[in-house]
Amino acid sequence: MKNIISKIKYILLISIMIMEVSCDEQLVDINKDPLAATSVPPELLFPEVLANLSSVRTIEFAGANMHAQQWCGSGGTWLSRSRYVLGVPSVNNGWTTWYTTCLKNLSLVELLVESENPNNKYVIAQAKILEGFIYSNITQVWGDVPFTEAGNPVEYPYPQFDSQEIVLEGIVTLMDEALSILEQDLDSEIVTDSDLVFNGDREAWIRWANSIKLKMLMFIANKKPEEVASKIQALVDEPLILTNEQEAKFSYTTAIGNENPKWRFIQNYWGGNINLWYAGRPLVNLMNELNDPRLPNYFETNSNGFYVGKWQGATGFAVISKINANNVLPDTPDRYSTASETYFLLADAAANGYVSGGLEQANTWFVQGIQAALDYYDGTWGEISQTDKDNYIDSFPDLSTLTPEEALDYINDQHYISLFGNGIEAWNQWKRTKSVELDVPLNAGATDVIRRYTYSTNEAGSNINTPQGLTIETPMWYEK
Amino acid sequence: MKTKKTGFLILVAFFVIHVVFSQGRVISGKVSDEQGMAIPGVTITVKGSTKGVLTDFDGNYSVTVNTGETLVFSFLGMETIEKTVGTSNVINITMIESAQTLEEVVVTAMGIERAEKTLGYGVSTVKSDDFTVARETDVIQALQGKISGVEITGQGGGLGASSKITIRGMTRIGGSNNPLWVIDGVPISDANDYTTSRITGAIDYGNRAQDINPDDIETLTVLKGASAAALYGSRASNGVIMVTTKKGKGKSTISYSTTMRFDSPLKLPDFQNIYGPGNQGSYDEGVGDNLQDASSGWGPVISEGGTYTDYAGNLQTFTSNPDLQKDFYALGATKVHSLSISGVSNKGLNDYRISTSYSSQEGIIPGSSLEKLNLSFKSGAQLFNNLSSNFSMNYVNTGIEGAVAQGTNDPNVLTGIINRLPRTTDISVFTPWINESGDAQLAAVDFDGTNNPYWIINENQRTSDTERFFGNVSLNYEPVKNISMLGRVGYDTYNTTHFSNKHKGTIGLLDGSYTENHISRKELTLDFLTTYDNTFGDFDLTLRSGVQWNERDWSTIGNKGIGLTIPELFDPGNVESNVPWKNYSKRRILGVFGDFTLTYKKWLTLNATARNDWSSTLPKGGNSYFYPSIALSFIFTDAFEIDSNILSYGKIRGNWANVGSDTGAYQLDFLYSPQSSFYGQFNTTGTFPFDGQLAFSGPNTLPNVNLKPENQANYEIGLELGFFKNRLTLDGTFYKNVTTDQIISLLVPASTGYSRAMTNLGQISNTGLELELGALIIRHKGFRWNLDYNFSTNETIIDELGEGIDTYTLASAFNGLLVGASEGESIGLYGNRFARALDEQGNPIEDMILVNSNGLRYEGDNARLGNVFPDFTMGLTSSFRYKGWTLSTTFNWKEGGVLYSNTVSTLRTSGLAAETAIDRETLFVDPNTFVSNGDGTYSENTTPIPSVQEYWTNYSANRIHESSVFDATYIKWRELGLSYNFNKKQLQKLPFSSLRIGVQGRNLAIFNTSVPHIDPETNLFGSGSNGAGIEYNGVPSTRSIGFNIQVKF
Repeated sequence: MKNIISKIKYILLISIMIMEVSCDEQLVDINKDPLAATSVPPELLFPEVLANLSSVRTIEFAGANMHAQQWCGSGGTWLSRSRYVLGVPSVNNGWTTWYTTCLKNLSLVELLVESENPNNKYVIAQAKILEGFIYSNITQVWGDVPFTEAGNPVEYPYPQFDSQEIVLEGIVTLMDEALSILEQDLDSEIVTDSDLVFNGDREAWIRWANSIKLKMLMFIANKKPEEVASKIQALVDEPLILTNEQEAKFSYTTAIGNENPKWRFIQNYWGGNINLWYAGRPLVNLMNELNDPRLPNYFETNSNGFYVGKWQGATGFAVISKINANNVLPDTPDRYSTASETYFLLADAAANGYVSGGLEQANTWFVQGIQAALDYYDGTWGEISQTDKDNYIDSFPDLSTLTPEEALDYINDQHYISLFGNGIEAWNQWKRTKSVELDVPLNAGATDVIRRYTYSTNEAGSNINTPQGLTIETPMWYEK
Repeated sequence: MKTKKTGFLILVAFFVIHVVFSQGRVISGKVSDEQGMAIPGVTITVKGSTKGVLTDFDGNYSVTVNTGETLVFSFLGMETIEKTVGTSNVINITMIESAQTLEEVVVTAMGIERAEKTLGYGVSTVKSDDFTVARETDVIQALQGKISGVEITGQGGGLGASSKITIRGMTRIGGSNNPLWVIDGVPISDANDYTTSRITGAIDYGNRAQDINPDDIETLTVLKGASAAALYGSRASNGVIMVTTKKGKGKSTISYSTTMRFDSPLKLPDFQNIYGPGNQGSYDEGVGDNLQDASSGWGPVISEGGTYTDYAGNLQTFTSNPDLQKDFYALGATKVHSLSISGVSNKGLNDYRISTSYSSQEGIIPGSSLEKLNLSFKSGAQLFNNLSSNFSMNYVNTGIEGAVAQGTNDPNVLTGIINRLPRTTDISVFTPWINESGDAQLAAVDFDGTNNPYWIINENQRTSDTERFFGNVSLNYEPVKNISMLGRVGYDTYNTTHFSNKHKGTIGLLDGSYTENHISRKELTLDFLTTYDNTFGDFDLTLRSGVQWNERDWSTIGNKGIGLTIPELFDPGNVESNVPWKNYSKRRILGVFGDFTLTYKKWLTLNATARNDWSSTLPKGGNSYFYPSIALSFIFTDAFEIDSNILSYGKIRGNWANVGSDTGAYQLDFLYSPQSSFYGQFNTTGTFPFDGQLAFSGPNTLPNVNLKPENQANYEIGLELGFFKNRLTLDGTFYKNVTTDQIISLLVPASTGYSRAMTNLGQISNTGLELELGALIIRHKGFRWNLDYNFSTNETIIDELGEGIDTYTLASAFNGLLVGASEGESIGLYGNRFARALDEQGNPIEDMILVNSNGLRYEGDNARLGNVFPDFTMGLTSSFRYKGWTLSTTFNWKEGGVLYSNTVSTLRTSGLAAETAIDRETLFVDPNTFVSNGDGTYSENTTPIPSVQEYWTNYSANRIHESSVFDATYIKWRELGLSYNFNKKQLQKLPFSSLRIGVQGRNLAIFNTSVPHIDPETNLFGSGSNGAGIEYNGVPSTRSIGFNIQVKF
């Protein structure tokens, strides 16, 4: 018995020895991911932000072109979009991509700069402008959204939804912060190669920041003109995007994998043709009335040689015009902020009396806006002849001879027309001004024009602060 | 187990047999069973003495006794027979099977065998016959309805698709709930590999437990509680499925079996056949209507004979084709051939078994097939008196072709196309599907990604090829009496290649693409175990201590090539762009454990275990965790010497166990990863570098450096009773599990910048009751009727979620439909409901559904739609045996739970479901609905619906889930088998030692279901996810009928 017990001891000892050896922390210290880095140069995050930002704008939310009633879906997904079936996965994708992939990486840019190269303040300014632009997209789609408490999971695990008013004002503040950095001459690096918008052109970033600011102030002015008029006035003399060359855009290329996603879509589904994208009635009617030289650029004629649009949600497209496929080329850019938009916003501000100069000044900007919009096609497939341009511009009355309401109608109609293909902007231009009369879609069970998307169900399912009771027909805060 | 024991006893016989000579008469004879088959290894003892012999391989024995002495014939699983020696020198014995075999030995953790009597926890065992009589190719499916406490959900008729198995309910809302599979003592992977997200055209390539060859299984034991498995480490807290494979025994035997089976859809949707395609009752190509854009079933009455241009471009007159879907599905066929050679050699010192099995299946989806080859070799050797070795090797190759994509957003999702075709479609319009030059599709369904179904079947491949090896080598050394040392190396690895392509011309990716993904998994388990076993008077003591090392590697590497130049050349050089990816993870666990078992007089057993793990996945300094267990078994019938004909056996058992768990690799550091692509809806995903620029991104899941191990406490109490010489047995178990500090990748608001965050969270409890009832109702003149019944109920309650978390999302589907958990509730389905009137507190009033000014229902808030898991499940197996005949059948009842069916939603919104054709022209007022007056009051709705089309498209819209959620209750007739075992006499002129033929049916019928159009047993999420209760373009499940022949030489 003793013998056995001593043997047990011996065996236990061996076991314990093996255990002792094994429990060396080294053996289980293998938790380092070999395929990821704990720090990267911050500029490497910019392409991820921009490519994802534009992917949502161009294809995920292509339905916004239907909401603006410039386009009309004839079947499948696109008829659904015309009927306000949003494709909730799309809503989730848009929300999640913009908040996580885009805004999160921008906040990491700021974090990386501050921890590794605090002198590179220009990089922070670039990040702030992009951040503001992304929030402008988010609030134009959803209205009240997390802003002040967003992007800070430790302090605010369940961000409050800020009113659209606070978000719009916050974007203005972000632009001011960025401008105050960029306007200084600093010993700072600026993101160049990874800056797929301006390739590190500081002046260009300043212009874009001012243009974003102008747009946000014009939204706010719809509700609180007195409070923001002076700020808009101050912007008149600041550098703004005023030529087509200065426009802020994400340039897709003809390189495989870097093409415009809308083109990739029609290539995938329709062999490069336009199948289910037709003209929306309000836009076509307006342009027909004006005999707009951009009609052949935007649309194809129907079999009878006319431009005819369709009521959203209806079926039967035998005599309806299709979207001109030239608007969906591999290198068609995603236009963030354009020169014509700046002019039309300024003209709007002048006609409303937010800035000095009255209707005369409004007329000047109005004409410059049309000019920029028509010139946009110079040197491309859709170049408009000088005669057509002149005739078109001459066809408008001098706005100073009209009432401010009449003038605004002209300005905002032109603004609406100029935003063709830029769904989110066109839809919000309508919401802001209602210069064009839109239809309530057929077969949609709808009672009004769509104003916003429902909140991401992922957000609603995880954030107890998500507002309830809003419908897609609930107007935006900034609407008059 | 009886056969395994036999082999052992035969071995012993060689040593014993020479010792038992003594004076007296020599009595000889033969022991056989009721069928006249010889039984080798029967123990024959002389009552009152230590004398004993065994029957040889042919059932013969001879023993030297004195007249008047009594011979006792005993054999495991047979009723013991006593015979007094009279005048005859020949005593032939026919043994009959005992009612229940409570003396059985079960294999517990680490492959340790223990008598079931001494176990303090509940186990269920399924024997080889259950796998081979009605031969399923998937082991898991063969368990349906046979074991209590185990829930199994298949995935319909997709070949090789996974089956989810959950033991005693879900204990984790974040981590895996899948049981650990262990073969011959070594854990193996049951991973479920599938492509992309579950929603977007996921292809389920099965779970790897399906690799197990059912013909190799000797027994399959389910260890349900955590206590049963404390020695396996954390993964065993979900229960363990222990498979013991067959080993060679007795004389060389060649066994061959073949199965042939035919499959057809069990349930197809109930379609209307009155209305053709169109909108609002009209279809007129003159105004631009076309088949591609028209809704499938909202057009004119077919019999009115309108005309249309079909998919092939021919002008046709509307004619209904009610058998459209039936015509599409093929008759599936399964063939299985299995061969094994086994036996012992070298005077019983060595044993061997070689087996191979080949199955080929053709699915109900035309062109889908599965081929599987299993090879295995298992051998043991007694090297020296005190040293023995065992090894086993298994090789499995599984090839799947034409796997089915489910969900949406992918051109390859097939059932969505088939179900949505207008009722006027003649399926032959889709043939031919490709033009003569082979580069363009003919007869596409529409331009929104809906391809010709035969194009998808024939031109777009979805294949997987898996090569797997698993096996182990062990050495057992007994340095001194009572002490044994086991060293074992177990290895499991598989490499799988998934390939899919979209042929040039596939709508949705006209330029074509291919995706190739290689997954490699490796698991190495090293065990070193020392056992001390001894008996001290009335006490049996077993002490064990051991060390276990487990390392798991997983890597994947793949590429998606987009834009094929030469159509059929799937090479990265032949495409316009490549999106490559690579992932890798490695984790290690080191465990040290001990086990103490003390049995008093065979009727009281105390078992205590303890283990400490060090895991690589937890933060340094906090990566060690300890977990103990204790179990007690008390056989009161033996303790109180109750020897009654009524109560023959009684045992109470109870146990408590605590298990800690780690998490996945690399969850702690904040990491930036290089990006090769950026997502774009509708297959527009782009690639980096973009314009020459590389891209990196921070993590989408917020890591956590302070993760703690999670903890699960288990309590279990059970009662086992046997009545009437164990002809009636009852096994009841009550359990409760409480899991705390779960490591969860919590879905957090995207507005925080992260989609998920790693955290320790919450408390979830499972309470359940299990009942197994066995009855040998009739045993008379060779006729036996056995009835086995099992019942399980489990309630999962989320006791606590973190602060601010309203609903934790386990798996999210689409449009806000999700499987989630809320505090105080069970795991449920959440989704959008109809808008309802609100009371003064602002709460919805359940039976006041609102309509809008058009008289149509609209969506309200997202809320709970019901329990995902059933209230209870039951299984009933009845078997009759007479002479060589066996007739057995199994039913399975699942009560409660809900199921969301997107197929139902689609059939209704598209006007194809039978119910949408009822009163199509009547503009009724939606009954019992209300309109809001805008001031907090409501009045009864009096507005008729604008059209039946708009009624159904709103009512069943996929943004409103409530209308497509159904009670998931069903009863299934799982199995029916009739087989005949030829007896010795019949086999005399044949070269076989045994021959069995059988016919079998599986999933023969479904009853008592309130889910329309589809089989409620379905799960979009597959076995790799915690999701359940959602169906999206699932493949119809199958009914199968076949036959089987088994011979032995």
